[in-house]
Amino acid sequence: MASATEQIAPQAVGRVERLRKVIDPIILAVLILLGWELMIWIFKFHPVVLPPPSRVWTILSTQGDFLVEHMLVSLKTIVKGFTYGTFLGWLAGIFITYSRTVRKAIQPILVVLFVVPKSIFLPLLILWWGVGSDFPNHKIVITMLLAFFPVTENTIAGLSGVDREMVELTHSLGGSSFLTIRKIALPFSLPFVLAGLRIAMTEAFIGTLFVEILVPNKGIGSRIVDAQDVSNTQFIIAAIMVIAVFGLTAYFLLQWIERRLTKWY
Amino acid sequence: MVLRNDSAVKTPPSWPMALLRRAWDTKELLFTLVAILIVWTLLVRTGNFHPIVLPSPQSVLGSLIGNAPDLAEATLVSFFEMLLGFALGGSAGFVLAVGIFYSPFLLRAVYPFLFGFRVVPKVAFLPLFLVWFGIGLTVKVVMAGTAVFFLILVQTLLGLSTVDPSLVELGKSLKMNERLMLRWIRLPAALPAIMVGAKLGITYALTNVVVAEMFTSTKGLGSLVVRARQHARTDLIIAVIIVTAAAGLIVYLTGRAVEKRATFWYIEEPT
Repeated sequence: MASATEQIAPQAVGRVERLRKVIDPIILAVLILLGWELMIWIFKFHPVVLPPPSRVWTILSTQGDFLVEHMLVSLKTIVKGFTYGTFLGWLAGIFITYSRTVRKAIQPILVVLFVVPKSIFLPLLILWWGVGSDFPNHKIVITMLLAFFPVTENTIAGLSGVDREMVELTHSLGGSSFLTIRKIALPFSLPFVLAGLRIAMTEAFIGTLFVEILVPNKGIGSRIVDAQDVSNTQFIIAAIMVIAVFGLTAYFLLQWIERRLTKWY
Repeated sequence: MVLRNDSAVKTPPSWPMALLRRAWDTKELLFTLVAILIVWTLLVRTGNFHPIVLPSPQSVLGSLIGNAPDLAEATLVSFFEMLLGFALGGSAGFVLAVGIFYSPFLLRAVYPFLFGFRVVPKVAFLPLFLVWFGIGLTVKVVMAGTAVFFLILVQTLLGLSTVDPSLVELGKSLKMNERLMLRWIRLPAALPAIMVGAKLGITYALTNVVVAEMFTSTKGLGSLVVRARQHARTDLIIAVIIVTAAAGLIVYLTGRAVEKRATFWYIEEPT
């Protein structure tokens, strides 16, 4: 269940290859940084337009804890929305797979919800709950909406891929439908669901960051808007880097859990 | 009227019957939609909600019809920005992917960066793009383009690097040079993966255009919904949501149809 980005991972065969797999990205990073400095040097960009890497580094080293502190505030929303959204998405996936009526009644609506840009709901959600409400609030609902669909999609894919013979075997041994679902279908679909969780985590980051940037209040997205108001471009870039680090950490954490739970697969 | 139960060949039903059967197939969906409408109406009638919180279905319908020209114009503006971003971002991603594919150094070096960009919400770049490109058309096109760019880049690389080796061998035995090989073997074989990226990419482009419009704009669906909120016109908000959903559905279905058409020869292998 590798995503497209993982499937293009360079294949390392020999020792030299394996070494270059690590060294080449570092070389590219150094080249990019040099090119960045050089561009500023040649085109004389104003630091508001493009600050040199050194200035971004200064922000990271002096205001690093401030950035991380606000990132943690955002992370709370992300994790909440992720948890509720993926759980509901998982349930929806199960019901859609096993009930023809539910499938016919709500799947078309879910498809529409899936393809509509979710951001369009934000004004309505703010009207309903204001910006002060703790739960449900607009941030969590948008994050939930985004985290919902990858899990639903993958749960349906996983459950419909269950081996018919295994199901029939359980039935012929006297297992009820519920037992079959619990003992065969759910474990079988687990790798799919976990892969969906990984995508949902990335989506949850998008949801929370979007709301924080559009309706500045709390969290790192709002601090980015503050920085934009005072034309503090180096702060924006530093903040994006912090978000990237947290995003990668969350992604690899989920991947690690996935590998541990699906060793048998 | 002759009833023929014995015939194994089913004659296709005449078109009014087929249409009826289709309609009957959607009865559950219709039931849900009607149920939503009834609950909504009951809530409005009995719940004593202020129309700002929950407008009646009739007033939403009214503002759908009354604001039809505005809604149509906003949709067209958003579609235009979406298509422009898709075309520019997609072609940039495609060209860069082919370039990266032919450079062993870049193929190895670029991988962690692709990963990093994948997990960063593109919306975080919006304030930066506003500094660079102002609040005009450019920033929307750039936002749409960024999403499409990375998708097409990754999917093209994926397609090119998973070409069936026996096809490449075939090309070699025909003494094809690399240019011919790219044109007649690698790119056609990569097309299904690229089309998956294009299908997803056009949806992402619309999403990002709407986000950029909501942030700072005077035109398009995103700005219309923000203005409706500023005027406390909840009926118009819901009307814009309905139109946006329709727009999203059209974009998605068109993308899917184009993908099917372009890769009709391709049979997806079971994973």
